[in-house]
Amino acid sequence: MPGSTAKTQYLYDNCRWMHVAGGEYVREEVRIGIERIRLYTEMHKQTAGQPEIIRRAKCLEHYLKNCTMFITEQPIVGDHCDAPDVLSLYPEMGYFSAIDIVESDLMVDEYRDEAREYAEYWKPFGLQDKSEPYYSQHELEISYPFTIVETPPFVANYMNMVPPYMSVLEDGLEKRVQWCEDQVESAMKKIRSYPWNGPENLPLLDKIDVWRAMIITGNAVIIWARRYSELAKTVAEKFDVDSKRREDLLEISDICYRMPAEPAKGFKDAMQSKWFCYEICQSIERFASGYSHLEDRLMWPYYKASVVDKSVQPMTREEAIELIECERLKVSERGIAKGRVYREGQPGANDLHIVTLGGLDEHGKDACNDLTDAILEASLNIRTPEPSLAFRYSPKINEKTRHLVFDNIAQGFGFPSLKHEEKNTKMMIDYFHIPPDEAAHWALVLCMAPGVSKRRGTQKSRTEGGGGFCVGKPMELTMSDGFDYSLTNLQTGPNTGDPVQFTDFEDVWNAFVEQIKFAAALSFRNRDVCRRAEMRYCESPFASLMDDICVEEGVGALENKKYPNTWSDMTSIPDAVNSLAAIKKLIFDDKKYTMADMVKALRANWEGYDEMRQDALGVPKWGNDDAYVDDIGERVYTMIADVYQDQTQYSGMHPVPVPQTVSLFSSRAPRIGAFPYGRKHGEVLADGGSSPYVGTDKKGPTAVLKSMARIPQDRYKGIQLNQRLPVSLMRESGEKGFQTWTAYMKAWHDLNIDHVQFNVVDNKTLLEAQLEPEKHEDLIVRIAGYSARFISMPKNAQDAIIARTEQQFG
Amino acid sequence: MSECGKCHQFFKSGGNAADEADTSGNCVMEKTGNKGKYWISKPVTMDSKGCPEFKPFIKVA
Repeated sequence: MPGSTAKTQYLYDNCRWMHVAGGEYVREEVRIGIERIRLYTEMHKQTAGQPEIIRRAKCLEHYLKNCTMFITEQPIVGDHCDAPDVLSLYPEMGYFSAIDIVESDLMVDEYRDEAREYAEYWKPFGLQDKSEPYYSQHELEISYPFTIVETPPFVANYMNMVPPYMSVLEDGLEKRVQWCEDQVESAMKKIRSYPWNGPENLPLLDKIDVWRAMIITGNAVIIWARRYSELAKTVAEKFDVDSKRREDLLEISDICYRMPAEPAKGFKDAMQSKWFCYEICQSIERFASGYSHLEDRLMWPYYKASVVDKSVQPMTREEAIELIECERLKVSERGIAKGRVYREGQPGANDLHIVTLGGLDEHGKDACNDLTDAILEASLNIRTPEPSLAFRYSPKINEKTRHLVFDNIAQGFGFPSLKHEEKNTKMMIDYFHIPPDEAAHWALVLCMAPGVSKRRGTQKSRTEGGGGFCVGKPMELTMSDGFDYSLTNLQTGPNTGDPVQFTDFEDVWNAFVEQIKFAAALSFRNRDVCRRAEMRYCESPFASLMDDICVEEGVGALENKKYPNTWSDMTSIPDAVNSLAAIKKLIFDDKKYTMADMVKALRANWEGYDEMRQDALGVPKWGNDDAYVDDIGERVYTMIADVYQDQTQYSGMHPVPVPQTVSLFSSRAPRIGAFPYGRKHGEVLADGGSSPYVGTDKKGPTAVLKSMARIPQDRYKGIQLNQRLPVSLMRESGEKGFQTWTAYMKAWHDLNIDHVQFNVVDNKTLLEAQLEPEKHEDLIVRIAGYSARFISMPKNAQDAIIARTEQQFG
Repeated sequence: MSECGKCHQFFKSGGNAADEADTSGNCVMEKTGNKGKYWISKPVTMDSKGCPEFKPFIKVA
């Protein structure tokens, strides 16, 4: 049984898992509740005419003062729903996703009519209606089906953010509220001063609204936390609980009374304060995916005080590990009523919860501490797929910690994923102009992209970084003059010419580039149009209160752009590379086939073209250190980086690409037609941002790394590389496994490759799990940017994991 | 007539326990599901209308 103590074993056994499979929650108990949408609607109606950010603050305040709350047997308390297994609705973030859920079986019948009425009420106030007027109907129709671009954020109801926890842990909310009150007083004094200066004074009025909204939310969160304090005390004193439980509840009551109102002192304080802020920012004030923070460094002062110095809330190391295990279970119980696209897109998990560890400090020294090791040990003990771990890898990291990283990977969890420490910190400083001490404190925002994570300027919206487009679809459209034959029957891309008339490879290339440019511009436009609506109608005043820059300048979290973090994902690049190589080789170099042959074969989904398909499959594939295809790969990755540089986002920066797939290689596969390298319509897409297509890397791990090194890595913020290593090496060969892996990681690091993550599981186990899933409920595998239960994944994604090449070391 | 203030699941808020004019409080119930116990709290006032889970105080003779 997972868990290092009887308590965590019990909690594991009774965990209310929230993961999904096939777009549905695995546990039948999961339902959608009414309280958030009801209370938000009540206050929204009452505040008509008031400044929008004040309305947002009062909606949150009304919810926090009047919501039903509960505590379970967990030592960490605080939830965003009115009962266990109940999820909330976020109608202001996207009408389609809200109404889809209201009409689904997830909605409690008793509340369906009421919820429908609220969803319709919010339609004109939501991000979707505020954004759609700036598009033609055709543009909306090609944006929504998730073909060339990710469904726009104003429809998808899927955001992400990095709360700046450090400010609240260090200051406490009372101090920050006082800071806002001082800012209001100072601004009012300026307004009243002689002589009147309109250009200087009028902008202060908007800032006063922002500060007042922060004050409302800060005070409301303190009241909400103290309601938990009171509940814990009531249960301890009035209900039939044993003496140990009574003692624990009274301690919880004490902590919730002080947190997050006051600065954290010990490890329990910090864990509880962080959790309260997380729930507010990412599950109540609005929905935002993730669990982004650099946990070992953020929490170290409090861990040190409690575990090392034993000066505050003294606890043993084992007790601290138990608390971290409880945190992992608490995250596993966080469910979100996301839109269908994202329920389908994250099979086997419930959200993209990723914690970052490791790395070097601003002086280039190993920043790992005993908490780093404790978190890695807790992961080994409790064996939950969530939260995933990312590790900032450098050979300078001490061997004990690197060994614990290896131990987790060897267990087959698929995490920690490894990010190149020096490369990523350098980009934060050189490209994003982040001060070195803050650049050294980066954490992954979601799966792959770093962002600052101290007190200032953390990323607050997916419209700043996240989302993206599918490179495979533009490749398909290149071969059809922009018409989407395989899914929508719409002219989805620009007219780039009848491919049958292309006379050399450059004609194909130029058409492909035009299709990519169209997809990129549409994708970034979708984000910025939504960003404008977010700033005006869907601000996050509590997240603003947490950020020093926002309080200093009186700007909302979503409006703030002082520390840009512009990036986006794209999927399916290796598919395009392999496709271009097949076209070049078969049609223009060997002249064995014509463009007309290829167009016909693709339109027929390769049916009746078996010999030609075999030839296409035989063309060299990306990931084998083969110059023929790797030259094309380098050209594609360079072109994409150039196209990103052409764009300018709201925050004034040119975005940088982060190729990765999450699970889209599987869930989006039916939306992408046949490819020239032999893939049929519906077969999985390339499963990483740079990984060789599944099963096509035949030359060993070093050849893969050499192909990856052809990518201009320094122009990318993250490039996902999936690799699979043998169980016999990683789990069964003792120290030899660690030494071999360490040598591999040195080669990876020396080649300046951004990222790598490993699956360590044998096919026998995977095939058995397909046949008898009930015997393998806890089998975890790495999908792409996250880890998940194998049995909850769709069959084509399971097959893709099985087909990944298992690398051998000579 | 059932009112929350007459239910033994009603608890006055800690801060207002001594203030007889303040009728606000919480309905706190222990629940047991297939994943263990939990305790749920909902803000009510003493004169809020009782719910189907109303449990009157039992007078001890």
